[in-house]
Amino acid sequence: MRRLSWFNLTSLTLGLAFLYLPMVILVIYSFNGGKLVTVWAGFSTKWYGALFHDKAFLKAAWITLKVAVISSTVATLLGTMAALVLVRAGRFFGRTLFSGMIYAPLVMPDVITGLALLLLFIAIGLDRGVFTIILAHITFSMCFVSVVVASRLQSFDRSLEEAALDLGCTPLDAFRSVTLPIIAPAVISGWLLAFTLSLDDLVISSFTSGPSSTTLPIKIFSAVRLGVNPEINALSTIMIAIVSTGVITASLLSKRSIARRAREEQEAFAS
Amino acid sequence: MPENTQENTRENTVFAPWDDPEAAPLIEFRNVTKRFGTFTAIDDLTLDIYAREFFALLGPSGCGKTTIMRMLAGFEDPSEGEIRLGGADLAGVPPNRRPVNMMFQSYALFPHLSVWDNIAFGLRRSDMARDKARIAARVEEMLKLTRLEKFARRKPHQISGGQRQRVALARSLAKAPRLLLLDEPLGALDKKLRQETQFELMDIQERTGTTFVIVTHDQEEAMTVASRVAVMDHGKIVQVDTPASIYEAPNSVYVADFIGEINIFKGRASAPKDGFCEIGFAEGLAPIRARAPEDMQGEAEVSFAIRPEKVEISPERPQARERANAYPGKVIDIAYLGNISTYHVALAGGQKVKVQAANTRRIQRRSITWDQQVWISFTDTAGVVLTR
Repeated sequence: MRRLSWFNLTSLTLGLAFLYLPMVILVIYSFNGGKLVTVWAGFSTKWYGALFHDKAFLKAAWITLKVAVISSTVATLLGTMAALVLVRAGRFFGRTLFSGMIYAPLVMPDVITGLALLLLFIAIGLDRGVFTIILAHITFSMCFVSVVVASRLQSFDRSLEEAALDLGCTPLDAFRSVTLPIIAPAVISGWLLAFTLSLDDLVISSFTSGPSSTTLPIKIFSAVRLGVNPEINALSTIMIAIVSTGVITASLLSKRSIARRAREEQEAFAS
Repeated sequence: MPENTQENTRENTVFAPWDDPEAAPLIEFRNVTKRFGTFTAIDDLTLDIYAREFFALLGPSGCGKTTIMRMLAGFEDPSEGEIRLGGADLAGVPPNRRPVNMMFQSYALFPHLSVWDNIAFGLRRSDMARDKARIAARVEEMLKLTRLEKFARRKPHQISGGQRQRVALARSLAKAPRLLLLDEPLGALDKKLRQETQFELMDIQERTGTTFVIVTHDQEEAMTVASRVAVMDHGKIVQVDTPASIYEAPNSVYVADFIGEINIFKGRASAPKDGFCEIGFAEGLAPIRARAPEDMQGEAEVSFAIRPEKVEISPERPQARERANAYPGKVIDIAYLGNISTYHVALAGGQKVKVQAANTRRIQRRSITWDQQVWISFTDTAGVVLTR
């Protein structure tokens, strides 16, 4: 292993500090015993206890989770279908327009998407609640899914599907038993992306939520406006823990499978 | 005893159903044309392929050979004309309903399935789908045929390129198709492995009795494995014949030039007399005496084609009477290839001629060297006169 030079070490430290110092402070203060956020008053986990007795927070967390699971699942379905059409259907009338429209929501400001959805829901007389939030989240997250899946499909060897047809599959069977298992990692990461996007969306949710359907980000945002309390710190720490566990596990697993694959390929060619 | 005799006669008959007017072809192309937009990939093709044949489609890339294969597999439909398999029209029959299997150039092995499951894939979607024991027996049979028993549980990325090729072959043979299509099956293998595999393919073809249609751009491969070769150019078949006929009696300059090495003399042929004509190809040199093609009448612009190994090279003028054609020249290049040597000889008129001579003795022909004046000679039947 090469030793880091002074310059590299400094850059690394500064970069990491810039990224993670805010979070580290947040985590530390979540274990603060005192009521004041900025004054350290000894170690305590009481805010975590308090959090689990706060009905409003628990309800918001439950709604957020429900919205995220449903919207990301539907968005994955729709986004995968859109990606298939984009990559596979070849040329059809309006293809360029279609692909442009799929990707437009990626760059559309959230405020505009939220406002547009709000106007639509009012116009068709749909009461705002969990259902409208789910619809809104599907709308903006399905294009992310379709981008991820489309990029995988582009490098997918079509002859695999042809081989399946050749061996007696109907087109649907070929998709189910060959294409889907192979693009599954992309579909799963599309789902995860949609899930996280839904989990932390504030802007679009606040446009489309009703009085009984407060999601966690909305709840945190409104609580913070009345002053940051340590309970929020505890909640945020839990979220950081969940997210980082997920990311670390995923990267470890994929790293291990890549390493195993490389080893097996080497063995195959050595034998 | 009578049975034995019959067996013997069958063994002794040469396999040549294409010469038998009674034989019914397995595959018939009738005036098939395939267009992609404005591009014509296949142009009015009519072709018969017989059962148990090992048929090679040979041509440069873009000549339409892959399109023929994809039309047989059902991935493309002809724009015009019809394709029949065993007498039945294939139009509108989807790939999964054709008794045809294909071995893909990229092998197209399913990466998420083991070797065993790859081979069983088609069987699980056939009429033996419910009979697990039969599927298992058939897979084992295929593994044995392709010597893959040890690798049954491995995934495609855990085996070598040659083994992958055999898995692809086993998978496409598992359903016992009436026709097996092979798209550049050996393209990804190195030369030595390719030669071994060619013989293996021929062996498997003979043992299973399946009709094979192979697409290749490698003329050596086509010559080695095929019972008949179709040489293609720009969507048309230029010549269909046995490898020996294609090599010794090409019907056009294109075929002569595509298969192996050849010397072409362009010139004007005299009207044939007693089946022979004389071709003047250069000022001041004697015309080439050669057998005239049967359909030739009167004078014609022709190309005289002769293979390098049919030309003799000698330091002195050859005395032998049967060598009707002899020309002096100068050696400008020698390539020593071990088993043979190739000499490039420039004739007086500027025409360059390639001559190949087998190095049958260890110290032979060292007398011929660069810039030496030599004689090249060939008989009047050694080359062919081509009118197109």
